[in-house]
Amino acid sequence: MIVSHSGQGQGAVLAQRAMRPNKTGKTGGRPAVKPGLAPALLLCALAAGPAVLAAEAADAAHLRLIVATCQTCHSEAQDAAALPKLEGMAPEALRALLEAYKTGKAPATIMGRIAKGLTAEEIAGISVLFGAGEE
Amino acid sequence: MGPSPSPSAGLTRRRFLTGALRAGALAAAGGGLASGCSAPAGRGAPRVVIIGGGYGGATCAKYLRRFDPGVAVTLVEPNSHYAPCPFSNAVLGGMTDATPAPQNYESLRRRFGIDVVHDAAAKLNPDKRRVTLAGGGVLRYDRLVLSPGISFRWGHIFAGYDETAAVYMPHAWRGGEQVALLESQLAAMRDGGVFAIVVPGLPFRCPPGPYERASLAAHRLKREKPRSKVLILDANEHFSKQDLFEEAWAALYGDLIERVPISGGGLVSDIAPKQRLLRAEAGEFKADVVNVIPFQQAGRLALAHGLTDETGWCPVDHKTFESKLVPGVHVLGDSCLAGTMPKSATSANSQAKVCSLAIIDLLRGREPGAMLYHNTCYSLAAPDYGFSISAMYRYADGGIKQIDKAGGPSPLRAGPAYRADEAAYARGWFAGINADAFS
Repeated sequence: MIVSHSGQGQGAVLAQRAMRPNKTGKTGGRPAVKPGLAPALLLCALAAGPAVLAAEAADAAHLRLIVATCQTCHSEAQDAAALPKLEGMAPEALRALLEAYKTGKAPATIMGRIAKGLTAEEIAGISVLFGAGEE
Repeated sequence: MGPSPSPSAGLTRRRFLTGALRAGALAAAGGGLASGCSAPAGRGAPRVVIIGGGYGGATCAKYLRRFDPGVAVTLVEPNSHYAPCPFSNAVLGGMTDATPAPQNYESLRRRFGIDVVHDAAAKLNPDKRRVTLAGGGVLRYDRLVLSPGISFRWGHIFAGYDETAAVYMPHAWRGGEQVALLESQLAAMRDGGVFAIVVPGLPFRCPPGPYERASLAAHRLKREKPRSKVLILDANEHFSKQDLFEEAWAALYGDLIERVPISGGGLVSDIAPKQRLLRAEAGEFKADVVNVIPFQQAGRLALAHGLTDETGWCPVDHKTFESKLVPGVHVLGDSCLAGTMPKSATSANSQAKVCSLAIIDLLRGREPGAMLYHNTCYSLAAPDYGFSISAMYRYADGGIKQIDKAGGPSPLRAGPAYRADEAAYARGWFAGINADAFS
């Protein structure tokens, strides 16, 4: 079936914008997830032994690489209307949006194709890192 | 000696590290966005020299410093400005609002404390880990990165097309001067003229580029000189995003664009530059303006220092981009053999990020472990008609492997709103990658 994609890409951009926290930390009426609520992936670095720490460090490097990969288009050094910067987005909102892209529930042009390449753990991890970044 | 960090950059990095938890994990991973990466690395810091300030080299320099401010980075690039290749076809198409702005290296200096040296590398000495510059200087390194782009195989298959011929028939396959020259020839072409594009065999930089060029030239000719033709003489049978381009051509340009694939005799064997004559298997063609895109190979510096194999490109370890032929030297971007990753700006940018993390791991005595690669490539068939192809890759079975269920091209028959959205995203991608690599 041929579906009309009229305005959908722009719609997704607007959805992203709506989900970015404003100055009071609220996201369209919903409270932004606090940075302290990090996924277990990063939390378990706290009380682990050296081998586990090394593994966690490798995971953290992997997540930073994915964040950097997003920043090819969503650069931290610009904030274009068509490609918003992701730093400072509420982590739960970003995670939900990427999951929706991945499953095809959110209308998209290219983001559906890209999100399919990430695991749920990767999506959760980078959402926390972006949320902790500058706005 | 380095300039002090700008207030906003310092704030950015501090706020990135607000959670002590996260800071710990990231520092263990080779440094977070710790404040002070605009300050020079201390004495005795490991030193990485990068040769080539295009998308691969500039990105690698920036991300080495972002990921580990304790590494000293020198970027060697002869030119003070970089003329981007992406969007150069917009110049030919008369899209004056989309003309690519030259990029410079000031932000890499100021924000990231990178020592940018405007000189050419003359000689590599991998045994002593030294680079001699054309100006006579010598740089020592612990790791060397080459991102030397492409070089042309003048006269290969296309007999008669050498460097002097490029005045009459521009290749316009590097940004800047050659693109401006081809644009001026198109602007001066008579109505009813033929604009010929001669396409080399794969692999070459920017696989969809010739077809985007044909599209945007057609967009302009249809408006300014509607009796003209665009003729593509192609050394290949199939091409990148072929269905999408052909759908667009049928919808937008009718028979204005004609392509002769290799099976139809499209392989050009002789070129008379001043007469603008092309001899192909299909016959002899006289054109008014000719763009010859030569066959390509790795950049000259890679060729001259034993970094290439019989293919003319550089075999590298896909975890680290370290040369399989010369230890301690990493090769990025168009010059390297990176599995099925196309030779694109995004590929080079992605490879540079993987490579920078791997180099930090190697310098710090760790096993390189972070691998995810990405390519996104937009093409314009008209200013408001765009489409894309993307791919994600992981490291598996000793090499870069595309993730099956991800990526792929834009859908066919998607409708004008979808094409307009992707045309806007193409501009956004270009602004983004320029900021990511150079700001």
